[in-house]
Amino acid sequence: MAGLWDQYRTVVEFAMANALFALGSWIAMWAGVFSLAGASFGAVGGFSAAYLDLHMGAGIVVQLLVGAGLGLAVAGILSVLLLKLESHWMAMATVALVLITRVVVLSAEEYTGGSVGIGVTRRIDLLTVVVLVAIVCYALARLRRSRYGMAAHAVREDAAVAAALGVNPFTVRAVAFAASGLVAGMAGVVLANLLQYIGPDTFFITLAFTMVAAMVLGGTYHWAGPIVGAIVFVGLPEVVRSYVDGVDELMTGALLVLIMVFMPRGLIDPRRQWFRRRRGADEASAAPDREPEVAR
Amino acid sequence: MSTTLLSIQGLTKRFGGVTAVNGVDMVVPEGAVMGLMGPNGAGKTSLVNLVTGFYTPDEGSVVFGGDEMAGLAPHQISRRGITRTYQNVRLLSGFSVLEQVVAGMYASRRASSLSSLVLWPGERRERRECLERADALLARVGVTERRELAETLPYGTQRRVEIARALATDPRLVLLDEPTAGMNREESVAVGELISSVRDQGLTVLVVEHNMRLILDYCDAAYVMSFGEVLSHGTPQECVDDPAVQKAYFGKENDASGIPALRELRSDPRRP
Repeated sequence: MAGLWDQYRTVVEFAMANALFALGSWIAMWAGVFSLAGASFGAVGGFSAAYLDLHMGAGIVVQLLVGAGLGLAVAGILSVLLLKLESHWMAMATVALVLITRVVVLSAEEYTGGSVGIGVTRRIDLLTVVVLVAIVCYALARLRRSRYGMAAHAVREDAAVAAALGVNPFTVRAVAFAASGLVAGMAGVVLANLLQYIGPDTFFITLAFTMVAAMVLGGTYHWAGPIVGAIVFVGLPEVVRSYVDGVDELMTGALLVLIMVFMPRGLIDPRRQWFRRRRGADEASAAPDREPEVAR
Repeated sequence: MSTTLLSIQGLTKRFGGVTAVNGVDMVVPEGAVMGLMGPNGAGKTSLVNLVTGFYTPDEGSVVFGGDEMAGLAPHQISRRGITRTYQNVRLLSGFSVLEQVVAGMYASRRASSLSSLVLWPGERRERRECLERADALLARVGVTERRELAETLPYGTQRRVEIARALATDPRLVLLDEPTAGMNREESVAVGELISSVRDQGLTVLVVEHNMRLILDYCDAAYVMSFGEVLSHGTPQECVDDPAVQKAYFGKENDASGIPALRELRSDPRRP
């Protein structure tokens, strides 16, 4: 049993780190912002952790607080610029941001180690990561039906209608984007501690797409989605590998495609009956049953 | 009819070469139910979009309760007391019936969302009060469903939920964009009664309608638009009897007697 645990411990750790990143993406998605910028905010958190570790020997709590604060600040500033763009252009802009991040990491050699990268002393244990994920989940569960949570969902579903209800869509999106930076900043600290080495390619396109894919796979309509998605995304290859070797990546890819084809709204979908645990909700169809009448 | 609540002057909106709304003047007195009629494409919905800030006017002014609204963003106009419903129902997918209505209370909720993280009693009380208010509003518009997803309900019920959501914003002026579209006669009458009860509560209503019966029975006055301009205004009956209106609607200049719908309107005993 202990052997099995040791074998899977790393898998669980990285699943949790990815869950944090995916949660960050989900928070932006909550208000309808499709963003890959989590990788950039992760870099901010990760390299700040490396700096704190190397120069001050700061513990994990300090690292997490600084990472969260810097992620929040950077995302908050960028939100003002990026959110002026329409949805898909905004997504493209966040891709550009990830590309720019790599250039910045390469040139800021003094702090990031440039192309060589930088080593980090591991100061985090699995329990801390799990607690961190739990805190984020608790906050999101509490916020889900708060004033802000309902406004975020409304803006995502129909920004014009939300505005007509008194919600300022820009503010709601900016807050969501900044909060996603906060969580991604912490995720960057966690990842740096787990990997114990970070370089220009750590917080790059692969990570950006992984967190978004985990979010989409798990479901973008409930905060539990990204966690389930991250666990499946990180765990599935390990499980597949223990049964078939060699073609495991192919198998994983095929499984992911199948899940997305047959569950396009993700694994966790609050609209599904078992989730809503009540009866008779879909008795009547949503379609109008009569043609509109003209003047009579 | 006392003070003026909404005063529109010279309102114009162009889309490329098309002038959707052309120099419209309109006055809506406080406490009135005002009808807005017109053939398809007359610019009625565009006018609603201009008043609620969905479109920015090219020219003209929209004065509401003494303040200029033209140029304000939709959320600012909503917070000043103008709310609306939509020609094709626009409920928020994923929200239950109750939550649709609570979503309309955004501007009036005071407790900080962050206080919900520490289970702040004030925030929990406010959530409960919102749900209770939403429950009462739904009862008032005659919706019995509460926890069902709104998108699964019949069309007529969805329209009522939308009206309840509009009322939840605590408005002074309610713009209803074709509230009886797709409804049968009994359902239309029920909506008419609902409009009357909303007015009796002290609100002002502007109803965009194709259904002349509803305008005649429930509106104090009406405007008729055609090709972006005001064609006629006065009491609903004056509007219906106006030859220009008949021409715009039915394409006939003098002889409207051949049109059954109009004949029926003229012979209705309920008409004042």
